[in-house]
Amino acid sequence: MAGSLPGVLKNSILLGQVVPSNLKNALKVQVPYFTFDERLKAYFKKTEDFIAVDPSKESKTGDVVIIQKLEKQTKKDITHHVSQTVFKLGDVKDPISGEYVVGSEYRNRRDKIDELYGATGNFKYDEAPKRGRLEGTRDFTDKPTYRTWHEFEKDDPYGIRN
Amino acid sequence: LLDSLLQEIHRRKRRRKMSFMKGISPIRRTTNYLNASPLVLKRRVKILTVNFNENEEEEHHKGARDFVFWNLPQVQYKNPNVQIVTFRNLTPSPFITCFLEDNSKILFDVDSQSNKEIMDRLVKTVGKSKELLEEEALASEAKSNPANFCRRLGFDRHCICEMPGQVPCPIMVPVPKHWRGKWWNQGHRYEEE
Repeated sequence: MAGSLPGVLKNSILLGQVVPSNLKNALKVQVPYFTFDERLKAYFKKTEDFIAVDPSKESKTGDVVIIQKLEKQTKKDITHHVSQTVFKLGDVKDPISGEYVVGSEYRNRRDKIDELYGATGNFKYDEAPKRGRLEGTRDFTDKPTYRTWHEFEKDDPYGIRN
Repeated sequence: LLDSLLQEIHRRKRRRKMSFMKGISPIRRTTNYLNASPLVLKRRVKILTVNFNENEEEEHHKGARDFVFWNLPQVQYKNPNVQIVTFRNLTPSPFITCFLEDNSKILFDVDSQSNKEIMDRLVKTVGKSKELLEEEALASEAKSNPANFCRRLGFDRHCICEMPGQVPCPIMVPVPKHWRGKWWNQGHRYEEE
């Protein structure tokens, strides 16, 4: 498998997005890369999953991280470790201004506009607790979901029966 | 006038057709175009990230958008081992990040810059200089010359003796004495046989 990997994926650092997985102490990171089609002379996107250790335990699914190849692999499957988080899902920080950002608007600007309109029930980013509080009870993005067909007495919240 | 029109049609029919040139701006998919970028990133740059917004009304992102549309395939073609990632509609301002081997990053704020300006800036900061590129081109030419011998170094043929019509290898058939430089230089040519 390692022989057929394109040259990009053999780099010491890679950028990828954390993807839901069932692993307990590691993260699955999906790395996008482009392959060149010789005939069409165009690039097509492909992704490759890597299993990485996160020593700080701060990364959650959806975060964009940089993973670095481990010098010594203690486990066969864990090949990389998370070296830096580029963007956190939900708390994207614009690196140029350093401000928190929602889409193409700055959070503080949005809050000011809300204040002027007198908005009351809006989500308050500063007062909200850190992400991960409702994992397993209301937030089911940490592990992969699947379609389930049988009605059990105790339904697994990660099985969807719609 | 008719004659000249007919001539034109004739000329058009004889012209080579560009195959598979379908889609928006297919010029981007020609080898000549892909090779035309001056940006060859320095070895320490491993990841290039472009952040921009797709909304047409955000004029300050136009340069970044054009860069991604016109120049990114060129950059990837010249740098096949650099991971290039685009992020759309994440932040209000466009920027390009280069992540280096030692985990540091270089940020380029490209707000309201045209794609040409962005390209020039990148070449100046993280691109290999023209002289270095010319040196590398010369060095690689010597490596890829099919007229070279030596299988050990990766060329196709080990010796000219394996080509039909050439003198057979002296391992198999000894070379006539008077063809050898040793014989010539040791003065045997002056001997009377």
